[in-house]
Amino acid sequence: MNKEIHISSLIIQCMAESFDSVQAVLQLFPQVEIHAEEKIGKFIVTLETEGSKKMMSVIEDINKIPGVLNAAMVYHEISSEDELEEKQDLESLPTMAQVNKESITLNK
Amino acid sequence: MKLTRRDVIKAQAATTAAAVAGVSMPGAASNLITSSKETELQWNKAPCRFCGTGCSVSVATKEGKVVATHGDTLAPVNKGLNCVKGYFLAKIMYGKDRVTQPLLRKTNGKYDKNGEFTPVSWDEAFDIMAEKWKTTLKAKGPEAIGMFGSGQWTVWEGYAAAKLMKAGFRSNNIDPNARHCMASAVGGFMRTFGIDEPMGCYDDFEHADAFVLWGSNMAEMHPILWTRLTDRRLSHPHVKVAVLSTFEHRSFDLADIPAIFEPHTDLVLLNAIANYIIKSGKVNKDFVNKHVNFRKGNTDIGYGLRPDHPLQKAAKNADKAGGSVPYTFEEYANFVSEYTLEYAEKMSGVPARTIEQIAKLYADPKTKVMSLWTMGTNQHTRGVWVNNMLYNIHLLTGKISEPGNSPFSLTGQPSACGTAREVGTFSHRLPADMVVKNPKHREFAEKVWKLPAGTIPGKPGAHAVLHNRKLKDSEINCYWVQVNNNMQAAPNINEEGLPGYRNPDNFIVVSEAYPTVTAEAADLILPTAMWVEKEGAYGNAERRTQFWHQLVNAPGVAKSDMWQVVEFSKRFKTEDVWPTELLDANPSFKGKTLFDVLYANGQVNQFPSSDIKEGYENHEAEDFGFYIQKGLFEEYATFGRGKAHDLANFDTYHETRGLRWPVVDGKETQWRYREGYDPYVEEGKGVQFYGKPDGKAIIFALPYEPPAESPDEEYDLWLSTGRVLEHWHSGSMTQRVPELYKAVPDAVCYVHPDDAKKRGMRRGDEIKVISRRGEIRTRVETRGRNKPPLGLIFVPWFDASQLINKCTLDATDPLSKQTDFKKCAVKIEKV
Repeated sequence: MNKEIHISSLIIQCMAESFDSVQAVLQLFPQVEIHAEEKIGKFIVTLETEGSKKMMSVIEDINKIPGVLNAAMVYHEISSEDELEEKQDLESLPTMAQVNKESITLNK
Repeated sequence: MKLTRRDVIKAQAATTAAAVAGVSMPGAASNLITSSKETELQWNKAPCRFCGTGCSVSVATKEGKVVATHGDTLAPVNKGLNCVKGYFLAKIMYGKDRVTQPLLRKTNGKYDKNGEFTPVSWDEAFDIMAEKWKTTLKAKGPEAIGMFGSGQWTVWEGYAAAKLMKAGFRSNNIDPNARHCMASAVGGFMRTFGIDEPMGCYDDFEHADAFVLWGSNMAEMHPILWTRLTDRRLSHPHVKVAVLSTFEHRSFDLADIPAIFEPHTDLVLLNAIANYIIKSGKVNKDFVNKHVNFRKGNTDIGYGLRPDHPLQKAAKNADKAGGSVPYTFEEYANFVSEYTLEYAEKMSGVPARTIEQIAKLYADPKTKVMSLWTMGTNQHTRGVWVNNMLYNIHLLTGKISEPGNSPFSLTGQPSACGTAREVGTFSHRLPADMVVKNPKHREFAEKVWKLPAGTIPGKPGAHAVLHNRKLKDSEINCYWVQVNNNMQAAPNINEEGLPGYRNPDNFIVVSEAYPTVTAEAADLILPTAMWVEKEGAYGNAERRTQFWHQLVNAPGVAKSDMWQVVEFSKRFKTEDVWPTELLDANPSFKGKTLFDVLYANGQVNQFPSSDIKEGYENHEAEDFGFYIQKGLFEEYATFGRGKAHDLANFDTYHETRGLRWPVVDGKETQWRYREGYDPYVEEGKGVQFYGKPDGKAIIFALPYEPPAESPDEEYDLWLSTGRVLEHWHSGSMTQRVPELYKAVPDAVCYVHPDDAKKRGMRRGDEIKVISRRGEIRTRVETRGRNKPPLGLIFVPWFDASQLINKCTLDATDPLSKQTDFKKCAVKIEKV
């Protein structure tokens, strides 16, 4: 079966003194991948879940980690298991700067 | 290098988040982004449909449908972020039960108040409406019709409606649901400064050294601003956050200074802080001498209940609630001297040491303080007083109108400021802070509108709560509700709301996108185009006006509220609605329709449809034959230009992420009343509160007075109502987004575990919440995000199957007429 997969990214803010314990708990979530972090209390993570309900419940669980102040979703894309395994040619992809420009330039 | 699509999406997701958070991402990943699919999407900007923060959202459309949204990275407000509601914004228009055509209650093909909702054409809908309106106007005059609008109206929807009611039908019985939300904030601003809306802006978040939340739960209600505040706190360890509330909630996670206070004792705490500032010698005397006057407000002002209520009868100054007398600094100092820290502790339950910690934030001249508040302060039978008293402590210390020093009234609705307040859709107001009571203001409005002198009635109309009372009492008989769900929002709905809607003397029209409880209580439902199904403008809490284009078409024959109002005006000749004397004195108005007089007046219809930017549809312009949004906006803007409410020209707003008024010489204003920031401050003045004739703001001496209803032996608990992060207001939109519905499907009753135990209740048990006015069934929650103290329960109001407004009391602030939804007495029983 070709399942619906949700990939999203979050900015997680926590108290600086809780940084280590929050990091440890985040690593226990199989759906969570930490991409960047700052010791003052910030994490950039992605989530991969089956279905949106699971995504929402993982976000809620992250919000409940002691020391976590806020988990804000920034990006969200729905894909399928098959699609996710497709190979893509990196060179053909536009750069961040290009896409940012495209997505925010108003229709002229 | 080959990657799977999974890698690409994850890299894109992480990169976007890192860019938004200002976090640098290691290595190659930061070059990746997007799939080929995205190029098929058309991206545009629009402000979010929900709260008053005013986040800008990038909206993707494809084949006539909104398919995705994300935070607008160019938006100064949200810098690319969205809260969870904003994330699923695309889905609010696509609920399965959208209303797509007019529905009239009928039996055997004829209108019948007790009939079934039956699809009808716009023509038939307007026919019956016009017939009811005309009959009522003839029999009882303009005071027997009413309109209830919204802080979710776009600027021109509110403007077109206010014009039709105040000038067309000559009735001031128009009020917005912002009465339930921002009226006390308006009252506070007008009383202290003589001009509405915050002096500061969101840039204060990046400048303040301390934040004090007065009853606000920003973590859930204003999550994006909370992210900004949190960022400031995390990256600047000297920053302190104080959170004051009647129960513990998510914002307490960040609190350096947490304080739970007994409901209503914010009045005591604020006077205690003022007293502390004075006693510790921290008054900014130079500032106070130059920029402040003192007055003592009337006391014993009642609770805005019906006049025959014992509490109203007992109140000495119920009819002079707004009165005040001049006072001196010494008299004021003496007045607050009884509010010692010890007395404040006794009254509020907050330890004196904690109160002192908070007071010191204000008193220390080196600490820049931002105070933040919303419904906890405004939905309060002394809401205007609390607003006044918040300004008192900022004025005593001169901590105002400069970066980081900022008393900031947050807003609940996307255009409570832009439409309800600035356009003036309240029963006593006209655009740009003018009021119907003032003959000069009426004259000014009549001139702008090119209408005969004496067209606008001078008597303020009925406010929101009074609407429901008058409907019940058969004094208002024709009633039109737009963009709000008042049957789920208004207080004491069993006794004071529903009886009026179902009163056989009355004809109730509700313009809606979904079959809300309000729509179901109506006689006629009109299908409404929402959000980007029309061109619109909203104004947020920091005076930022934002525009958007129509991006998709509405389903069925749904039309915008503005279209509905303007089209309805064609059904009336001036002879139907204006008195003979007025027409005899101004014969050129005879024989014309209200459409001719109000909208085809040479101003509203002056811009051709060809002015509409290429590539965008505009269903109103298509029907009326001119660019009506532009015409309405430009006519409206003439009210405020040159009067410290300057708006930029129409086209500018389509090209920017909003501008904060006053916009003078193309430049927005971040901080008002301060020389160097605000062009309206005269040279050499430094600070000038120019809303008052002498340029001075007012510090009001105001006492603690008890709430309208407190717990007693039988009804032994406080009830506070409010919101949750996932749902916005009554849930009419967010409950139709599957992700948000699944996340928080039902309202629950948050109870202290010991209060539950005492009553033999366990988490998850079904219970009844009972007040003297009504009851609901819900379930007990003893854990989770809200932790009430002993003696208080919290029930959110988003759930249409649990109408907690059956329990609430229709007591209002006598000054602002805003309901207190945060305190009444209830008991809970196991079912």
